[in-house]
Amino acid sequence: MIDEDKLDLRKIASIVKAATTSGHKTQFAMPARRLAFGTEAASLTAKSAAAAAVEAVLLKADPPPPDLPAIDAIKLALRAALRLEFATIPPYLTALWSIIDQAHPVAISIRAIAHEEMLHLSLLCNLLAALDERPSLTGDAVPRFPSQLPGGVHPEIELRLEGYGPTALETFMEIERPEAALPIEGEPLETFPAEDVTIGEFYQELLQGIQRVNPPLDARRQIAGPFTWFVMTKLDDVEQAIKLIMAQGEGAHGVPFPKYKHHLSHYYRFKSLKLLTKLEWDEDAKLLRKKDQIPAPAVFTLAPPPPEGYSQAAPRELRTASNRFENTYSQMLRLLEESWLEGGDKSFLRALELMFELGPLAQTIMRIGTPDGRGYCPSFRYLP
Amino acid sequence: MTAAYDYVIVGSGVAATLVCDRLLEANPLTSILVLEAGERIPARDRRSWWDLVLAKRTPYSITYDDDKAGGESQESYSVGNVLWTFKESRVRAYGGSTMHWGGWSLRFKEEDFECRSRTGRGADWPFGYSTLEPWYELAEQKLGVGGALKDEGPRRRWGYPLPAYPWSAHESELAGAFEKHGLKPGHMPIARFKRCMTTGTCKYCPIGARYSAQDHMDALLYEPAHANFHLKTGAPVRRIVANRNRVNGVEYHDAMTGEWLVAQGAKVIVCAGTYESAKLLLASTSPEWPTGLGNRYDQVGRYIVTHLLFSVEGTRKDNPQGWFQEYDFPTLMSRSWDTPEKQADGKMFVFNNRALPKIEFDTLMMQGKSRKEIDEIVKGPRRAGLSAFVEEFGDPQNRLSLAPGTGKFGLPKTRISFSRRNPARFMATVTAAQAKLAECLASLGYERNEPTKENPRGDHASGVCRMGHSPDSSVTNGNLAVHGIENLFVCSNAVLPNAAAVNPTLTLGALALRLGSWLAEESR
Amino acid sequence: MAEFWDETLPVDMLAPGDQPLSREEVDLLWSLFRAIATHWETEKIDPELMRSRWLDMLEARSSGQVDFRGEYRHAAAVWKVMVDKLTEPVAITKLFADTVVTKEDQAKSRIAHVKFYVANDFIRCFVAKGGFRGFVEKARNHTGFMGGSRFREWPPVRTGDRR
Repeated sequence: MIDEDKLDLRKIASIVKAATTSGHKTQFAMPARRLAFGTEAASLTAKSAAAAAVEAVLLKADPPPPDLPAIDAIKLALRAALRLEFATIPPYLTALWSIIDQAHPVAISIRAIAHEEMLHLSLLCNLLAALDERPSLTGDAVPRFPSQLPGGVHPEIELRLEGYGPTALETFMEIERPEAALPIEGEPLETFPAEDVTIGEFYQELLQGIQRVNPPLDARRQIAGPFTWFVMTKLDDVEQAIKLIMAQGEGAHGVPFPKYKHHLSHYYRFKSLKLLTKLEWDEDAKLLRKKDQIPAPAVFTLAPPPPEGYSQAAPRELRTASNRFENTYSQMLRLLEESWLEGGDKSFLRALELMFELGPLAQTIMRIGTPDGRGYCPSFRYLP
Repeated sequence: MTAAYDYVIVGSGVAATLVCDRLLEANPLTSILVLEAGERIPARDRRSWWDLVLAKRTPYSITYDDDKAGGESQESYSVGNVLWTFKESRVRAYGGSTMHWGGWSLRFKEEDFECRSRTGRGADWPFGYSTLEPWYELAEQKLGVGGALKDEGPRRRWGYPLPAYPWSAHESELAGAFEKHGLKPGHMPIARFKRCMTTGTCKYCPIGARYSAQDHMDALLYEPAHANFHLKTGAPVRRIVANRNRVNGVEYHDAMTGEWLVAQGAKVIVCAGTYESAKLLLASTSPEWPTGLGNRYDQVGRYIVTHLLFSVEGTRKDNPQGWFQEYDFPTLMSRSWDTPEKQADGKMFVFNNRALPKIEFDTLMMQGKSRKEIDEIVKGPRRAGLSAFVEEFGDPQNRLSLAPGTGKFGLPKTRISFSRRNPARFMATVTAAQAKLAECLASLGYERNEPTKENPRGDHASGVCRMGHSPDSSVTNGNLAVHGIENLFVCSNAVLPNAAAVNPTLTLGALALRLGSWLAEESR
Repeated sequence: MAEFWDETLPVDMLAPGDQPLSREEVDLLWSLFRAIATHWETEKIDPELMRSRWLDMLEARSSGQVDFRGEYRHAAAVWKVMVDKLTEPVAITKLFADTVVTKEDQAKSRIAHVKFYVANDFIRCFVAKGGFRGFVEKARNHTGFMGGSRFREWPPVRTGDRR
């Protein structure tokens, strides 16, 4: 089984650049691609056989990467972006649900961030669907934990499922870190180490690649609705979407927010939670001012979940709760996948319902006490 | 003949569901047969949802009582000096009336349990608020009730399981007017799970965010551990089979075989709603019980009451903000008239009329109005409304009884005789209250519209198998057991000794949870 | 001789037939839906955002006891003729401004059928799925619209000073 996960974002970015600027034909024999318009779901494959063949070569070969048809390179990059966005969601949700009062201001802030990540996920799924590819959200596409971030990004981070606290916050801040820090009143100015593989550059390359190719975008299988407000039918929409993804994480150029100054970008929201102080951008002074204090939330302290799930040795109460969680999560992912088919609205609504069930199920698990006085953590395993 | 069950339960609404929830929690292998006269109406069906959005049709409206006068199919009759309406007041289907309810979930107040002692009117409950308090807590969790701790209400140990909804901009303005008129504004405690996305089609929620007994009962039914839990739909029960002071089971119509069968149960619980609970007891005659089960003293069916809903509406000349109702439920309410001081004349529960202000964009567009015309209408006159429930007191002359013949779902027809002894006094109280509410509206610039006449509606009907200590003035005891019978229980709004001023469902839920737990405990 | 769209039809719903709607028919109906936004100048609201909901409606109404496929197919055909013969702007005005059919017994011609059985529903769908914001920009919610939960940063309705 090909593990696209092994490809780092820098490599993918260069593949995209090469494929979309050179316009070379592939060196490999490719089966003719069928147009997906009006065809049944079964004919949509998660990866074209051609792309799979190419990836096999990529994994064995060293640079320079061989030529790929431009559209396949773009889809490769989109799948990588999807993996990245997907990977951040379970850790954010775990941190969110570990806050006992789900209406606490800290919970509300993390929830806003998690919702935006889901928006990024669905934008990428919409983009893949616009290019006739069915996004994959089940099976091997489901992130496992603990792991590294996909795409070789921030290799020093171990992405874990853990409760809200200082270590979780540090990890999240590192993931969302912009290239340059903005000053915060009364805080030393941060300097960030240079990264080998940056998410920002990758998205830039992806956007430019799409702009060069200017592919037709099919609206039929895209979704708009809760958590997914965007449908892309022209190039401008794609630019808007990708810029939004970047800006919601890091902020727009020189400001700590994507569009409206009351909606801070993820990095600065996490920063605000770390300082337990509301931050507000002062446009004249070009810095973030400290405002009201934010109370620290009461949290469940969690023991990390075993990657292979809870075994027979675990308490029965836990196994039952964990089973329910994993089954609900898996069913939700299957329904989400089905949402990106024509008329997938009804699957999406069912997925939404299950999504809301996950929080209470997670907190049920967290309430079960470990032998050393902590709470258990949901494992987010996919069960076929 | 079917095998004997631990429990045979008549009806599948919120009461039956919560009783089963407790029984099965204590012992997952409890053998239970639930018999529902109606059918299963599929939930979350896309077509049904679109029919609601586009044509305002609901899939369960076929289960409503046919009260069209004079037709052969008329199922319900009202006699007396007050016309009692049956219009859309109950759902006869799997899940019962929680299929269509608004989810308003308020606790009765301490004084409601002592109505007669305090006022000489109505009846006392055989226990006080503190007995029911822990069950109210559990009911709020099961139903997913959101509310605000600081709002008026009876004492409570803990906050609500979920937060309240913020008032809309219009309600925020009304709240200010409330304050100036001696009404403390509060937030309607409402049964919406966390997943509620304020879609506004609560009558048929596409994502099951409003509590429905169907969802809950399904979860119990499909739980593999509940191996002896069974449910039949299309199975009306026509009588309870009794032998002296014990019941043996019920006679029901089996849809599969078309026969009348007897389901034997060690205990029988009647959770069939106010109307059917009383009618079933009345229909279960025998040599020992010539006037119906538990009816030795002719108490079954008496004291029927409901909540009268009255409203005021007003219109102001403009709507600069372009407000229109954005929720499908009221969030603004006040219990400032739901107090011991008001009890003697009937307490009142005030709430915003959630249907106003209204701008029907689609209707205007279908009428061919232009953008400019619609813009003018949006800015134009704005209506607002306030409504209230008023408490009435059980009167022995008011009664529910069997009407000849059978209606839909094989259920006997219904006859209600309801009269007020002093209608002038009652209407004077209502009129005075309307005037006060109109003052609130007037202070915001709303000129009062013509008042409409109100009729009591059966949604909150109660009292016909009321609880009490003594068999000569009540039907059930404090444990909901029918006086004089060891193993027959009633758990529906029928058992409420008085109706208070607020919706009864949360109280019914609390009673059901308490009954289920008590029965589970007893059977150990 | 009457124009195609003015030809008389009995008021009853047209039979649904056996076939699902074709790609072309759906596209024509989508352009009819989009015309609502054009006619009422609600440009700020992108109808594309409503497409998946609209498709859900089409699919849901294309089966069951009351099956709208016959009317949908008919509406697609009539709309095509109208746009071809009149140009789209004129067709839009004709259908949405000049033709008012609010009762079943008024659906006596082709265009009346289109209005009553298809366009009216499209209007209701349009309003419920976000079109209301085209008229009142600050509005947040409407019956049939998923405004969001209580747990989000921004309330699902317009709020005032008192919460």
